[in-house]
Amino acid sequence: MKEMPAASANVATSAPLRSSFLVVAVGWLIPGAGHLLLGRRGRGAILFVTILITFAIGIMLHGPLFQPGGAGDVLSRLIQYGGFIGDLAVGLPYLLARWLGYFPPDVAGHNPDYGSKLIVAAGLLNILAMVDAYEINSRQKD
Amino acid sequence: MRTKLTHGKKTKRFLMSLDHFEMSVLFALVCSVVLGLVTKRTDEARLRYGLYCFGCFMVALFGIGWFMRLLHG
Repeated sequence: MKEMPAASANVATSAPLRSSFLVVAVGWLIPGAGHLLLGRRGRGAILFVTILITFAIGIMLHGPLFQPGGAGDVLSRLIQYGGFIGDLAVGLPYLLARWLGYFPPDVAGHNPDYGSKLIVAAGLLNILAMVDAYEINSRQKD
Repeated sequence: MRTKLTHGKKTKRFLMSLDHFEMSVLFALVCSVVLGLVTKRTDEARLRYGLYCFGCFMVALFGIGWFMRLLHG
């Protein structure tokens, strides 16, 4: 009987702060919002600004968005699918860009090339932010 | 920073133009900020790790740059 309160206290401290799905989904949709939901305002704001600036510069450089599928060898298709996942990981900014008709042609030149890499980089950084928010939510870190 | 590039008869206007060095520094900066934020537990450790990552990026950038220059003679 004496061990019961200790066991229930242990469960209470290891329980997630919020729904993990909600934290990850909100963090995906709006970069840094998962942290804001968990009360980490400073970190959330820095992540939001950093990821959004990276995405915005990619757009200003006219970086083309990756399209899944299409013809080509295995490596080309792997790059297309990987790039598409990276683009999609940015969340709402990516969806808004697509919805607003952002579809620059894939032209030769270093600026569009840098732009497409920055858009993918923004998505990959947002994946890191989502993993961090998940770990905070599951109390693996502060 | 506006620039105008011409591909054949078509003229493409970019809102912004970066050279390779500017792009590398920008990439190093944003990656260092996020890596510092998500990997460490205290603010001081985050700042230190972010600066460490940025320093590593810069060492690699200049190191590889000079290495390629020496390769080309």
